[in-house]
Amino acid sequence: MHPNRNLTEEHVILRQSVRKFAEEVVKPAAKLLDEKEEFSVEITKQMAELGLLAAFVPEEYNGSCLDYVSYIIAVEELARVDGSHAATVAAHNSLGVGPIYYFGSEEQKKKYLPKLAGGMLWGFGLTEPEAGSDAGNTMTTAVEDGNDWIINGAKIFITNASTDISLGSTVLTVTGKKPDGKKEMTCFLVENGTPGFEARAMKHKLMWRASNTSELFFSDCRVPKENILGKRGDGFHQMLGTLDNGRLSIAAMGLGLAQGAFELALNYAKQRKTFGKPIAQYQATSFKLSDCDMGIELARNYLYEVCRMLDAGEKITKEGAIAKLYCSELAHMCANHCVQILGGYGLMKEYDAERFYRDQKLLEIGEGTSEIQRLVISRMIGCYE
Amino acid sequence: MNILVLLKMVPDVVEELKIGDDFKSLDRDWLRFILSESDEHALEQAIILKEKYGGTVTAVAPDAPELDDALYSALAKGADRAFKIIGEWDIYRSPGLAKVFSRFIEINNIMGEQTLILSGSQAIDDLEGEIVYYLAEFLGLPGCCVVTSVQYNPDSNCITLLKEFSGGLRGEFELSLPAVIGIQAAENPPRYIPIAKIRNIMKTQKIEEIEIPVEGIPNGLTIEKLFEPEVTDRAEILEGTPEEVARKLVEIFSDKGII
Ligand SMILES: Cc1cc2nc3c(=O)[nH]c(=O)nc-3n(C[C@H](O)[C@H](O)[C@H](O)COP(=O)(O)OP(=O)(O)OC[C@H]3O[C@@H](n4cnc5c(N)ncnc54)[C@H](O)[C@@H]3O)c2cc1C
Repeated sequence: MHPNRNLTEEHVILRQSVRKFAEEVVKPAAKLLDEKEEFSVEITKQMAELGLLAAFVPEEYNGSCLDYVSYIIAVEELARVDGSHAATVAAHNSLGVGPIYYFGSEEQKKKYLPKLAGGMLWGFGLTEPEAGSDAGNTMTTAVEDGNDWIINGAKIFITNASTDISLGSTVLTVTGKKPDGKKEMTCFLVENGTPGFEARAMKHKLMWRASNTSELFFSDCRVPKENILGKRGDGFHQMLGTLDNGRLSIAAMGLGLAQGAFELALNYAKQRKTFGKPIAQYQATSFKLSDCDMGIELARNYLYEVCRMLDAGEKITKEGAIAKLYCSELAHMCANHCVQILGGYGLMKEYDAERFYRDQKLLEIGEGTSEIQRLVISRMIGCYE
Repeated sequence: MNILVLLKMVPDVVEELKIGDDFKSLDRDWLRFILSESDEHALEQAIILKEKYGGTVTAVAPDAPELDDALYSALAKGADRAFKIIGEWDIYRSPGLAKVFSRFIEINNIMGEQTLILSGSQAIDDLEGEIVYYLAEFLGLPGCCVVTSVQYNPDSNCITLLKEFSGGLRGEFELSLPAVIGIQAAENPPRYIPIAKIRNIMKTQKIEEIEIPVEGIPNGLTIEKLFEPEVTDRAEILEGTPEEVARKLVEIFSDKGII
């Protein structure tokens, strides 16, 4: 199977470079970081040096100016060896950098993007204890006070928000009521260290243990009005638009994880002998591996195609949901087959199979659960009209 | 200092290797090619030297599958020019390839007072490690292989080298430029390419293609037959306590009439 079908030379070289880095730097460190539940500032800095932290941002803000296909390949290659590091990069680009780049004012872009390209991280605070799938139920409020706004409330599960190199987060708040009675929502850029704002790391995760996940607390946190992202009242649309694109990077994580689990399982199956022959030669194993290969081929072709649509400026609400849903369920299947094929060894920390198995689960939950993706698709095909 | 780096693509041994139907070469369908590891180090050392002392780095390689990727990567890492020598170079071993490189150097008028030619010490495909010495001979230059450190002294136009010997011994050498050096390991591990550079390079730079006349180029050794190591059952693992193992050993030795 060739992962580079229909790609340009540039994409091929990019894949090789990121793969080399992933295998030589990320892979050897991943197991221990996962075990210690530790975020690596060191590796994140190295990823910044490679240009992975502002992948699709133009050079004028120190970005790498990649097309979306390239960005997705980079995430895929990281996820092939480790979910946590892929998560740091995917969340930072799609959710941290994305909103500032797409919706920020020129001053905001100039102020933040070069720092976010250079190794500082930015979070995306949408989810709240009472508002996950139901983001409309956001309760964090911001109240105007002269030239400032005062934020109160809490966010939960926010990636990259409380590391030693986290600069701040974009926070969705309710700022009033619209004429139609719906909540008026506005996003604020809030820097870490702002009085009244605390970002606290969440511990004891099943998966992505070397990725930072945070709770954000706001109590009378005062920010100047210049920190509004884009325009007052645009918050909800900004968040939805960000998620449309962000889903592609979760899809890339699914594809990469599927690929990593599949390769591990295939190699193992060719070497492990029972009853005198390699287990790859028992149909029960070979059919599992063929299913993985088939899924990966289809997922990769579709995902890259959706990236090309995005690069061409098309709207991808449905296609992004399909890619995210398909790739994350594929990752589930491949990780499950991988553990099964490795037998008892698949359950031990010695092999990466068990980490693939754990890391996979987030992909069916984060950035819209699988159920919510099906909801998006069923709306787009007109079921509820 | 102007540095020429000689590069070669070799099969990636992470992939499964299969012997071809002709029993003389590897089956191409199963091969992926990568830049020879010690050539990666030669390239890295070249770029380090350029960063320290100025000058240019030119990369050159005989055509091979996936070579373009390796040459673009060399440009993205900091090489100034990259040449691909068009042709079928499979059958040529060290003396032939050294001849090809020496013709390349002549045709392009590359030799100068401050020219340093770098290559990897040894490639994993043939393990010959001879190209540096052949090329030095063809060009009438000093040559040295298995080098792990290169320092340049602009005043004397000399380079100081560390060469590794077996048993952990090291020798320091001084050569005047021009010279041909085989790099075992660069001062730092080969760098990763900043991904933004790749796009820039693809837009602004081209791989230069060049043909070299093949008449009179020797191919060196020819391969008569490739085969997989034969499986024999002559190895036996003795198990048990040290005393038991020793007793069995003595038995075997006396059975075979050795003692
Ligand atoms: C490690 C990690 C990192 C994260 N990073 C971020 C981040 O950076 N920023 C951010 O804002 N959020 C982040 N999240 C939050 C994540 O996006 C939410 O957890 C997710 O959207 C689900 O919300 P919830 O947990 O509140 O579950 P709920 O919304 O309570 O859902 C619970 C269950 O009910 C189902 N369900 C809910 N509504 C429906 C419906 N209408 N129809 C059918 N089924 C339904 C869901 O599919 C799910 O199975 C992260 C989460 C984790 C675990």
